[in-house]
Amino acid sequence: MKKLFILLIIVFAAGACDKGFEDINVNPTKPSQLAPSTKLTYIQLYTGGSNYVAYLFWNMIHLMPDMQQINVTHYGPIFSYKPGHTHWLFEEQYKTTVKNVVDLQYQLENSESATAAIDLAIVKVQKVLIFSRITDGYGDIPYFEAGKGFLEGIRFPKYDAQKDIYADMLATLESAAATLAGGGESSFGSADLYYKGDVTKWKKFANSLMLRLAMRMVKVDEAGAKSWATKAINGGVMESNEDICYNQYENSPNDGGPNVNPLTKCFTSRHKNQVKISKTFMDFLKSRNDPRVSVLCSTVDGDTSFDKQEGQDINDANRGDANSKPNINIFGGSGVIVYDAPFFFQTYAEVEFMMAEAAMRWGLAGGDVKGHYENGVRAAMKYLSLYGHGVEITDAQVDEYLANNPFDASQALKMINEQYWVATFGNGMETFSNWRRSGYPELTPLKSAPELTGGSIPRRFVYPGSEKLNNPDQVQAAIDRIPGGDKITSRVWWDKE
Amino acid sequence: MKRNFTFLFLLLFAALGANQTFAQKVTISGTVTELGSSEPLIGVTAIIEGTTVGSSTDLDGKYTIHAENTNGKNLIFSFIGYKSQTFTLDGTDQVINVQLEKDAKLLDEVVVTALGIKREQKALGYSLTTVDGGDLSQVKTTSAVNSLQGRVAGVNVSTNSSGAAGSSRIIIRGASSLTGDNQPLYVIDGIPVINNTNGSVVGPFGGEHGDGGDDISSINPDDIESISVLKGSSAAALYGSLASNGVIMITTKSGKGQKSLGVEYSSSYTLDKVNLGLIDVQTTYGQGNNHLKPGYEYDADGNPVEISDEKLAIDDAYTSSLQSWGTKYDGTPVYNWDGVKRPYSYTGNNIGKFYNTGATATNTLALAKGNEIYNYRFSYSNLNNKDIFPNSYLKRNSFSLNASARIHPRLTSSIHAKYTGEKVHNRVTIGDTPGNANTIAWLLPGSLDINDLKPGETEDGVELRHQPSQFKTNPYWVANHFKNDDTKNRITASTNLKFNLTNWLYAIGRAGIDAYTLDRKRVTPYGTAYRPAGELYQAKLNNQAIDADLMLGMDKNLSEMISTTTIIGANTHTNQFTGLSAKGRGFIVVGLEDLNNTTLPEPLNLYSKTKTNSLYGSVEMDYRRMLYLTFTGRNDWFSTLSYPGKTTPNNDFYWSLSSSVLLNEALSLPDAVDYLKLRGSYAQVAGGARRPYQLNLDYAVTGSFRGQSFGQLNGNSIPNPNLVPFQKNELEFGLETRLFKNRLYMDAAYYSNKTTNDIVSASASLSSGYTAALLNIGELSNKGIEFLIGGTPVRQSAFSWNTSFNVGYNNSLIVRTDDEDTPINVDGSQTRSKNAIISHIVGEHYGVIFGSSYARDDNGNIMYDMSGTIPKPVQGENKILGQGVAPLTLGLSNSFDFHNLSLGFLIDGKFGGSVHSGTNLALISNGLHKMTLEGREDGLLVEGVDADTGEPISVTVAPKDLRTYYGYIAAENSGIAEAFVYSTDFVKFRELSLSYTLPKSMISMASIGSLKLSVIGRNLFFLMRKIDNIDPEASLNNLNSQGIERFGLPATRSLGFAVNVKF
Repeated sequence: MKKLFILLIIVFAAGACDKGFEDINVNPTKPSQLAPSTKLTYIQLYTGGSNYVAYLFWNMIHLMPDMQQINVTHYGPIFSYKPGHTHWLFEEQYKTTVKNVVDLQYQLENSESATAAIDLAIVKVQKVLIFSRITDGYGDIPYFEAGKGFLEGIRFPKYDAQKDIYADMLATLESAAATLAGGGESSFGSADLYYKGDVTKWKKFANSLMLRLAMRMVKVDEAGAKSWATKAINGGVMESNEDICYNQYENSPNDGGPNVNPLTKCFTSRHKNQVKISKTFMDFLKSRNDPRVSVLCSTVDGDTSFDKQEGQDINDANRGDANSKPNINIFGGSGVIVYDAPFFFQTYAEVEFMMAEAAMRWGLAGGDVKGHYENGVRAAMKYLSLYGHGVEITDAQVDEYLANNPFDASQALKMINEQYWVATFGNGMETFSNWRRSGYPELTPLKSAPELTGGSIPRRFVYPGSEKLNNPDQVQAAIDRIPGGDKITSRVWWDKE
Repeated sequence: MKRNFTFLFLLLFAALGANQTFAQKVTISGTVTELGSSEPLIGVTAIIEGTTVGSSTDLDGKYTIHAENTNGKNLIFSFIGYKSQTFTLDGTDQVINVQLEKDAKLLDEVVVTALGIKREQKALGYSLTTVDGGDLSQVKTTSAVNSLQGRVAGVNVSTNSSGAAGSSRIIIRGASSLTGDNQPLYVIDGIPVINNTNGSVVGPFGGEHGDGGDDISSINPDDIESISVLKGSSAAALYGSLASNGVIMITTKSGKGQKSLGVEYSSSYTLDKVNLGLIDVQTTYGQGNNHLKPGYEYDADGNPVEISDEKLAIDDAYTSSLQSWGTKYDGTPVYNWDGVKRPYSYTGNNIGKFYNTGATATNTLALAKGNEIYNYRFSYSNLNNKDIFPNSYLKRNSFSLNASARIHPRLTSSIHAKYTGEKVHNRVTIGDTPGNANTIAWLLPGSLDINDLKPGETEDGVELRHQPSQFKTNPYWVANHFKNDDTKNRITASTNLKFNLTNWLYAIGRAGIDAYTLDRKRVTPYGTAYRPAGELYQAKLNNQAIDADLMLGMDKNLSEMISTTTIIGANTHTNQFTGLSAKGRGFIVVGLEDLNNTTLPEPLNLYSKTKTNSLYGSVEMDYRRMLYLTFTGRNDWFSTLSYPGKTTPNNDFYWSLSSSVLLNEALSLPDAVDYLKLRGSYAQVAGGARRPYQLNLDYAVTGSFRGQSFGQLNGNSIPNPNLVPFQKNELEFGLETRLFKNRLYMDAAYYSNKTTNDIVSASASLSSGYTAALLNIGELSNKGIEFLIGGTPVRQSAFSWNTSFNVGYNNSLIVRTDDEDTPINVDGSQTRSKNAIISHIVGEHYGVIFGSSYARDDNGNIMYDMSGTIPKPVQGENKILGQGVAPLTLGLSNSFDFHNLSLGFLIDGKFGGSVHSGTNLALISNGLHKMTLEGREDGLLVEGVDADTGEPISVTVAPKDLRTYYGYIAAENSGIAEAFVYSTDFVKFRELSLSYTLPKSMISMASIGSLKLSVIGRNLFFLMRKIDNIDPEASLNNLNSQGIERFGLPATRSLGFAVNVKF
């Protein structure tokens, strides 16, 4: 009988006891692969932030107030100069954009499509954009092994030195720009939210991003910075506001997710009277009679007239007093909630300011410091029209501004980077990075800074607690490399004292 | 499969045909009946001693034996449950009719084992406990399986504090998986049925809709004939991977033995009341903060004065309206939250006022009839439950039909069909979810009357708020306007064909389906403070399980002394889940709560399918009916572990070997020993991943933006293409004895099981792109003992007393979580205070409570931060604060029969478990807990050491600072979790029934067969408990995260009566 049983088992084991099982275990409601363009849309959208709460914490109540562009009443005393909630950028980006861009890169590297090379180059530029924003915040981060949980089974990626990350990002941009410069077609089309598949614009963006990364290194490796800046400018950077890298959001107010501008969502999720233009920022604009005052600012009643605007002192967190102070107009401070406001990853104005600096430092870009500076100021005022809703600064206003505030070569670095500070309003990470790099604008720390940070403005994001729980060895190795430890006052590699 | 089965049959006949021999000899024939009745006995073995020649009786009790040289030989008739008889043959053709006498000693010892196979208790090499249906239907619970609590050693039942429609957790011999489902398989009349939990309270914020109930609750207790609990792996081995957590086999009643049409009606009605005796909050101090009445402040001299600005005074009354840190009640008028001045007096227990008296009525009518050819039973049952929570109810209608017929002398057919229609209105939410109405009932100060919050809405039709937090919802607003409704229609049907090919060979075919549709509608109404525009969630879910078996069975006597029973079979089990759900945020037209009236409804298509195919076999041999050996083997193939190109196995073979030795037969023991059995078994069982689609990546299209659809990788867990089934091995020993003519019995068991290659959700760094990885890496073990002792201390004609006591102890151990021994934090098990979590830590018990402790110096003194004016306990290291699961369970049941009167009761208890009580935490920090009475007038003396200096401190915390002091301990993140972890030890007087059966003389005129009237009670009182205010059994969910609790329904006690009439 036992023989019979064993025989039966053999018969069945060899037979069809799992017939059809492979099909059953494929989820019919989920695709097993997606078109690269479908993935790209996701990645580009999420690069701007998918979760407004995350954005709220790391940008709106951390970076923008730290950079004294805005003052978030009520939250200021709670979050200012504290490690607080800066883990959100890390936690959000790795599981959304990083994971999916690594997957998309793998797909394209193994694709035989005719457009694969161009598509891959675009994706690599996108990937550099994503990682550069993370590393500028935290310093050493998982880079080479990141997002490979499935592809390579890496559960605990190691943290790479920012120096190595920068080297790789620059090399990646160089090769991508070379591919893009060769011309050809991309398959992305309208799925590419930034440039609609325009290969030339992607090439310009790759070089502009290269210029940004190059300029980041001026304090730590000036020779390298110069060499990469030269490559970038020679390769062809943005030439007008037509070349700006930005995403225009949608107007769908019920969306708590990625389709609406996260800054708008943050703004409306707080009481409208809690987000104020800071006095530092306002005084800078008003003292120069800047026409942007009436574009960026508005009273609670929706009045945008120049004279009515008054900034709120960063040391004055008093909420009641703040009600009369200006809101951020472009995101709906005047009462019209602008969910479809654009988000700018890099503007032509920034590129001109960097070229002005490169011209001043090394004689690059034709050596015309003043010309690039003025182009930058003009571009920074003109591009605001992309916010829509009738925003327009005329050429005459720009001319007047430049005439009233002439370029002073002896103050070049200061002037260039103060304008950079205004031009990147809304893009907290870029404002923060350029301030750390250049030292401008010269900001006075909060009165309470001595108790909070020993007197200085934060210069870094601390690593997330979740990493200390789930990737303790690797994050500890990274922490051990930071002079001063895992603190908000420590510095990233390129932010040399 | 079909082709394979045909092949199997052919093969089998070929193999067996060769053994058959026929010869012309003398013929011995006859009929075997039961002594004292004309019932033919089917399947009685008649065998000539010393040979393999013999036969079994057929369906008419007839047998025929052809043999030679029979002169002087003995013919032995034997049958399970009957005394054997021996006849000496004379060598000629003979007709021997036999009447077998029931063997009183072994009368009740035929049990139903896996796959519905009837076996003698003495042949079992493993532990199997059967609970009689009568025990479950006497004092009914809305979910019949909850009645197992305290009745079976080794079975740990816990129920959620979410009311009559809540779900249960039943764990047999400890959890066998770290992160998987650990609940047993339920088999009803041979068919494995679905037992999903349809939504659970997970995570610190509780999940918005709370406990969605489970599926097993829909079984009608009046239909249950018996429940067999197959505890160990050996017992369950034939069910394979589905049964890796044990099996609860439910057999429903049939019409067997009911010669004339029997009509039975049973009815019970119970009232459920909040057990207010448990809730022991302080009733001396009323609403207020800082030792001030509402609307008061301290003047410059520190004397309490009324706030002069009326608006500010009312504001103060509003903001402090969940705080009981006021002064002693003095009856003076003070502002309430609504601006009305009322006396500052104790208004009575708000919990008592808010909850209603619940009621449960169950009525069952059953018709049954049976004879030798057919039998059937039909029943209809109606359950009508009104929960203690206002406007919350459960209604259930069940129809059940069991029929079986001998449609041919060799062919028996049976069908089982059940329909259950169930409607739950307003499932109660628990935990820290905004819509949990229990929160305010628990926390409202005694000086405020909860009735003043009625009807829960303002004149504008929005939520009436009496305090500032939008997340603490007015309980009457919840009760009157929220909807959390489920409608479930379920059909469970199976058919069973048994064909006797010869008198020793039979085939069984069985197929069943268990299917239900579940409609859910959940409305957060317009005007709710935390969701002003409202929200609606609607879902239509279908779940279907199909199970089919084909079995061949053989009963052969290899010799006079050795007989065998062999079964081989094949099984296929498919489970398919489909559904559509949609969530709409914000109602457009107020008052119309329909999905079409919401903005941007988000639809979701739900689907999953899994399938398991299996081959199994069992060989049982016995030697002289004193040594039994059973071998089983089963191979399971899992769809969940199959994927194109997969190189690791998608199937596994596992086996069990069990043996029992009847020492009373083998040895000569004192007369007092009726029965002494030693048993032992070893079994393996494998488990597949329960969830499908975990082997490879897939993607999801998750939205569209400016006309472009976008998509991403699906899921946050790293799929593992190499997953293989996990393994569980179990070794078991046991000793059973019956003494003094069955007056005393004992059963002891020891088991040790170990799960290896457990499929765990191991942690991963977010920077990998994922939050977890599925790995075949977990290891855990359970060792335990089970002991049962019982008997009949008194057995007289007028009075008898039966008693039974059982105890089970399970020692769980986490052996391995991953290569680095990283603790696995059980999904969603963080306490709301965010400083404790249920965790699997290597070297510790399953699911310990791991959280912050007091920092102490070397002498154990609590360290305080003295930098402020109020001593602040310093948060110490995170450590193990208790086990979430009680390792020791016990139960004691007794029944006394005196003439027509019968009294029964059940006492049960659990020991060794702990809970982090969020309810007590809030009662303490809000000043309602009795513990906060100390120091209210003269200050609280705090002693310990200064954390900075290490010097001893002795500080009196002023009455006005007590709230801050307790606030430090209760604080989110920085607080001391240790302070709120309580022992859940308890002994409960679980069940009581007092019945009177009317004498026949009184009722025979009304042609009533029997009439029984009973008074019944459940959860009547505690004999012992260590935690105050809440039920020690209070639980948030039925998942692996046991040991946390927060704002469940208060404990209840039930009392009622029951009538049972038979015609």
